Amino acid sequence: MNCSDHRENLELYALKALPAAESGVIRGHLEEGCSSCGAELAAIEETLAAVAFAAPQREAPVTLRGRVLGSVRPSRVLPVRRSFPWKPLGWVAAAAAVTVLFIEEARVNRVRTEMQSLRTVVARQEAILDVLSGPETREVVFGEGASGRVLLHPRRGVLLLARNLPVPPAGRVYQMWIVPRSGAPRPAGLLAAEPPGRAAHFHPAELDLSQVAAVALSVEPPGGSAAPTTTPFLIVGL
Amino acid sequence: MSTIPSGARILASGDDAQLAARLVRRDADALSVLYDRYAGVVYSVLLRIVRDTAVAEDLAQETFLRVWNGIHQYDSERGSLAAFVLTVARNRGIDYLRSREHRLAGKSVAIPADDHPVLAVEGASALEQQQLVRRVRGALEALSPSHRTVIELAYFGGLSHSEMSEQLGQPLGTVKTWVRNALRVLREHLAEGGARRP
Repeated sequence: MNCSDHRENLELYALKALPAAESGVIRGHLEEGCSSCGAELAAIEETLAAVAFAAPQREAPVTLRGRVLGSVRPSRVLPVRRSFPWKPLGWVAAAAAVTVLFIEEARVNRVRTEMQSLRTVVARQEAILDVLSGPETREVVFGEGASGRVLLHPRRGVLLLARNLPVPPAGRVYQMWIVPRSGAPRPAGLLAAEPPGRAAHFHPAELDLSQVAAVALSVEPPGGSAAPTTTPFLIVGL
Repeated sequence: MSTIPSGARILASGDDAQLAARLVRRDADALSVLYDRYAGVVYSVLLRIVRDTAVAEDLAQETFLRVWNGIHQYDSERGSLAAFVLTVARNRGIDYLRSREHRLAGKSVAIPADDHPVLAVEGASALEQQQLVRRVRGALEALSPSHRTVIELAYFGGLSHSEMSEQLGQPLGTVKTWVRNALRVLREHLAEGGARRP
């Protein structure tokens, strides 16, 4: 193969879109030191990197800076004492230090877990905010008896805001469904307990809105169902 | 002497070489400068690719650590530091999309064709970055819909050549031509428009 053969695939190579075997052939050619193909690849990578600026620009999380910079700073080296003036006290001090280390590790693990759950909460709130304010959101208002709004965002999911819902039968729950234009309804979560008759339920999902026919609610057993077991009492068509 | 074709330094900053040299010397303050300059776009592109804030933050941290550890591979004669950083970031995002971890999470990599890539800037951004975003947006808007779609599917969606062919219902050769032409037009527009970072 000559350079022109490789050049035809350089864009797909830069995009990591080629099968491994074809990528390997091009990588081998570049590693042989072909400067013209290398320069062409650099130009392609520069153009592709510019595409990154087309992503919706967000500020990096405030915690990220500390994580990045903190992970490369050289760790502090404490001076080592060669010996304790009184050995029994040294053993006590060592035991205390080990205890402190265990406590510290437990604390760090707890904070890490809390941060993870906070991240999840924040991500969910951000998703709901996008659904409420995003230009791509489709909103459907429904009324008569149970009333409210259904908002659908192609990348964030479905938000149902409802009032005047009937109380579900004893031992039963409400389950939301995304009803496609063809195929079976997809489960979209159980409605959390709210004040009587009200519901605010968010289900994260990626949706092709042109293929969604309706959002529906049905009465299901606790834990929900894989497919509706009762006729939906609320169907909000798109 | 540089052999870089026209448009290869679209994102170059005047101090790329000096900043890279400081990073090679393990200057943590240089990493701070690098972070402040690129953290926003690194996080943004990763979030666009993986669509999960916690994962995007983890991958952004990994991106900067990889740049820190692999800075000796950067050649300022070959391209900009921004492209080096963003290539690492994008590769991390695509690797994640293709990973077992992501597949187990049940997340789709498919992106609807009508999910237009050139969206408005959200949140606060530096003025120079906003200008760059506008220039890139203008260049993308100049593409035909089919060209925009393949760039979207490949760059943000991480679809392979054959996956794009299948999703678009087009022969492999057509998809390859669309990708090549799209990038050629993009490169020309960005070079003509002077998308170099202010």
